[in-house]
Amino acid sequence: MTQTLVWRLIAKDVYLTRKGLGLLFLAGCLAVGLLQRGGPAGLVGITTALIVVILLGIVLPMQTVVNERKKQNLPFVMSLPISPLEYTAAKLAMNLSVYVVLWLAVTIAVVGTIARAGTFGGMIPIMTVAALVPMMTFALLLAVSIVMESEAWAIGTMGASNVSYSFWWYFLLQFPGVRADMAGPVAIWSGPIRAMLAVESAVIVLALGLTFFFQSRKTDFI
Amino acid sequence: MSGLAVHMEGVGKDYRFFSLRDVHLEIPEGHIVGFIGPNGAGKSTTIRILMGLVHQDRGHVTVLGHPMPAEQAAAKRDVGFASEDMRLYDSVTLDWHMRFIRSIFPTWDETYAQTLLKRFDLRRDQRIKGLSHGQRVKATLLLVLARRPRLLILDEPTTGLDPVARHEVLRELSEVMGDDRRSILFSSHNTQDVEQISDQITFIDRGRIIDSRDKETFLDRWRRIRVELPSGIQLPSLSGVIDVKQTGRLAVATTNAYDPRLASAYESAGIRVHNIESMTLEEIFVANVQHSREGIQEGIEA
Repeated sequence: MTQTLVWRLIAKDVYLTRKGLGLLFLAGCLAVGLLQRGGPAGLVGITTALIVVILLGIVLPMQTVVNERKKQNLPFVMSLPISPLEYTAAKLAMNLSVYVVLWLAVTIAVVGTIARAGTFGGMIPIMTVAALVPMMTFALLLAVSIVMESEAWAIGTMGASNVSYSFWWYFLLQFPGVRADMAGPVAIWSGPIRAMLAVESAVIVLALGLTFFFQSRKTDFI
Repeated sequence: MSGLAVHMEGVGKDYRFFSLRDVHLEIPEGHIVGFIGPNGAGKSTTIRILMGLVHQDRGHVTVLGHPMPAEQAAAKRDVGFASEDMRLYDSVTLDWHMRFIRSIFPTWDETYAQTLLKRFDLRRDQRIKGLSHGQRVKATLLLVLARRPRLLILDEPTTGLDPVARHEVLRELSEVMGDDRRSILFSSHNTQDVEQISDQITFIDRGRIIDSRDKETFLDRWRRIRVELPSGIQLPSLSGVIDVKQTGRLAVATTNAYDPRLASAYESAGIRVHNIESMTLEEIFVANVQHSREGIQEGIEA
């Protein structure tokens, strides 16, 4: 019964966010379409794609976790035969699955388009690092929204994450050779690039793991 | 433990500015327990502990035979919970909520749900956003009642309802008790509502259960005795009298253990008994809280 209920909660959240998700899906399709055209339209496509994954990373946790608490729907959900940890599992599963599907589609489209162009192969590693940043900030925002139970904390995390985008770029471009590798026709997975990918992956795994850890130690859920 | 829908023993929970202390509460199957306390007394904390939403720091809690919070998912299969701070999803209809709950609870009774829709004058295709406060409360109760739970836990469900809506809700809760295996814990600071449907009353104040017994015992044992003191005679201190208010030669003694011999004792002392009045549950509640607070204060000062 509990497993079924977790699926029902996931389906409920997908249904309740369907309009926002639909709009973002359409924007994602538009971004991919522009990318295929290349040239200035391709640049607009890349920017749109980045905006779509950033927005998705904000909309999902805010609508499914923060608003559920703010609008006092949480007592209704918690009156169902489910434990707080199962609730956490449902929230993580719904958010991650929806985000990863759209994020992967957009990322594969962007990186694939660059790879097919042939001459911009050097951009692929740094685009992969850049693509993981929204995924990482999404994981952080999701974790903070579930664990801290506070809209203020969620907004703070969202602001800090978005500001951090430019710092990531600045930090990455300081490594010797990264700029030169970007300009080359072949993808070079240098040490700094691999280190950045490792850090981003670790932050994602840690954020999600710590969410379960803190939720399992909580004694107040409403 | 069989025969008890709820069993709480020595339950405590500490917050920075509030503590729930040594709560003992039993709800036998088939009983409606009114849970009365002022704002901030600990009603909601107690109820959240029963639902597993807050974990107690001390003591044992069992709901329908399931230890809480460990087996809360299993317990909640047979518990219907509605609270004043519970909201349905604004953007969808009551029909969506009904289908959602029906998909989770195999005990959902569609015929009864239809009956409740008519009795509560609700439209299933209306969005929750467009419902009044009273309609939202009734919609929530419909979702809870049509599941046919064995235990209903209702945290201030009638707060903010107009008299007609309150009457409809209370009538439905009374009808629910036609099935004598079902139990209700009904929290409120409105004693009239509680008095109307409960058969057992528990008072809570400042995190402590201050009194708990069946309603008839409360109403039978509490009395106000109005007396007139002849000059030179003082009101004797009698066992069972918990409060005396005197203005000149007139005095009012409040007892929580009424016995006709109390009046006789006053008369034997030369005091004229004018009247012996029954007390409403609200008066009993206020007197009980004051008595409890004075007792705590005297304890502190001693």
